[in-house]
Amino acid sequence: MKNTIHVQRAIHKMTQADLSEAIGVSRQTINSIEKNRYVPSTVLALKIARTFKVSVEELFELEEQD
Amino acid sequence: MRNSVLNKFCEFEKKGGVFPLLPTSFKWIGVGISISAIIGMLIVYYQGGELRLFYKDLCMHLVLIGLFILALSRDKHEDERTNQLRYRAFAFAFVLGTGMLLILPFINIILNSFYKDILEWEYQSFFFIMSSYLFYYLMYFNIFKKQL
Amino acid sequence: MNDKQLDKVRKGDFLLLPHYMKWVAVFPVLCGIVLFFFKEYQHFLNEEVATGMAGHLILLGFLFIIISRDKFPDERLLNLRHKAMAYAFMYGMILVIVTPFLNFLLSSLFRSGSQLDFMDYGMLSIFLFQIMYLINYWRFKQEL
Repeated sequence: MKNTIHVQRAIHKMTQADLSEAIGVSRQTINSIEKNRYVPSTVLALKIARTFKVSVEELFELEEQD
Repeated sequence: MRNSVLNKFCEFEKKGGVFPLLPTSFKWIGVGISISAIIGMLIVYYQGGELRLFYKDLCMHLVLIGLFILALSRDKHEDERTNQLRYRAFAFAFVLGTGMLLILPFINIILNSFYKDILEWEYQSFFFIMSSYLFYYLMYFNIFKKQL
Repeated sequence: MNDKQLDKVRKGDFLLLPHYMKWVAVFPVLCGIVLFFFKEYQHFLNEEVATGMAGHLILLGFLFIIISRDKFPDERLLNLRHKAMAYAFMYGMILVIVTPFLNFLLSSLFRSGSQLDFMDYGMLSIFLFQIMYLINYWRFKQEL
């Protein structure tokens, strides 16, 4: 699975800490989602998408091997 | 049944919450209890006395309670990731701990058979089992928090 | 832990045996039960070793049942499995910690001298954990 959270953060000029505060999780969680180590639950994915005002599909993308 | 404590607890399970966790400050209380119990055990060991065995057992039980409080206390930032990692660490501790404990006596027997004539069965003590579970859990939780 | 192991943990699919191991597990359990009931009729092992070994074989069989895969393993079942293990761990732990104090209360009620008994449950507590896991897993599969 690929994700574009890093890009979206740069567009909105948010740090990991800002994002984590906005959706109420810890900074480490954001970090491991960005590094593709942790697959967020649907609730969390929707929250991130709402913060950036984009759709979930734009944030996360399936890869061939998934 | 409605609104009873049991029902509330079932709701809690369904939501996928972690167990009723204690506040973060309990982490230090847990560590304090286990360390003081270990010190108490050392004192009992050197002091001796009539009730030595009883105090030794009591101290061991206190170590277990301390570690248990440590395992139950909340993380600084508790969210769905730490929640999931907790479950995984518990699962790991459960399976690996049980597996190791079940295989140990057989290894013992094989080792004994090389240089002893009599077969003996060594029962693992209750304290050893429980503390190894708890240690496994704490170890894996920390590894996962760093690496996953 | 190396990367390969961590990747398996990430997917939630670790330490599991293939599905058919569920049926292989019946073998040690049966061996254990047979050994337990016929320990007096054999002269190969002395009685204490035979009892210990029988208990262990039964526990080992249960462990195989616990860690063998479901027929159609998916994300939900793996999640439920972890959850059930965690809950088994928790309930078992609480029971095990509370029992000596319960013993103390009961003995102070019924006996003249109150005393704190720390019985050596050992293997029994492992069995308790395993049974609790199986019950929880079944219950979660129905309810969640």
